[in-house]
Amino acid sequence: MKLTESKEWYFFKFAYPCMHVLLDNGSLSQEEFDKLTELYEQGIAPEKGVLERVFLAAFRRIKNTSNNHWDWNTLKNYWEGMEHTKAIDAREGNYSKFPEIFCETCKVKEGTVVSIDETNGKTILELDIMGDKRKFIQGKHLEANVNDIVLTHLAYAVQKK
Amino acid sequence: MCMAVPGKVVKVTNDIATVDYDGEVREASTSLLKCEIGDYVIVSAKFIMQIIPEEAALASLKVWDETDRV
Repeated sequence: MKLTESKEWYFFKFAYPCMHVLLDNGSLSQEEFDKLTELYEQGIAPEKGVLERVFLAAFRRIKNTSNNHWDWNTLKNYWEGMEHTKAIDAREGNYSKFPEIFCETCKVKEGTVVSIDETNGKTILELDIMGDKRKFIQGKHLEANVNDIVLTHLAYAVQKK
Repeated sequence: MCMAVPGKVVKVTNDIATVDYDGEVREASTSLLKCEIGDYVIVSAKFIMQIIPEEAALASLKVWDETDRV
């Protein structure tokens, strides 16, 4: 976590991969998706109220773990401390209804960078995740190098561990 | 919630897969994960990111049909 990084950006960079899912399942309009994507590409975080509204389920879970959902420790515990993953493992909410493989794809995971490539304007990181090689899109502001350990969410490598 | 709706691959041309979501088709890159026609896949940010066994895919589609997605 960079000292100059805002809480809003910290949350947004991990949550951003979910936006595509929210768009695809009809929870987010194309218009709002486009506006938020533009912000992401510029490295700008939406306001707290917007984040809480868009990522409603995440903040519901965060509020269950802390009285101050915008506290740094609370946010870090959610993404890096694995509270997000714990909620999935506990099959909280709608996670209880879906097959395990779907739940597994939602988890924050860590892997070691083994190669870096460029495809169609995107930097693609190949990671070794517990012996399994998988490719991820390098997230905004992440500048990974081979052998770095990074955290992933859905199709994105989000930050160095 | 991160739970994606799976689609079925109906065409693969070079690095682009055409994915059918109950009649609505969208394209996705196979740069992260190669797939074949007939595969059920999860797409994120227009990239194929996971291949799902058919049984699991159909089970999840049933849940989506029964669940408020919001």
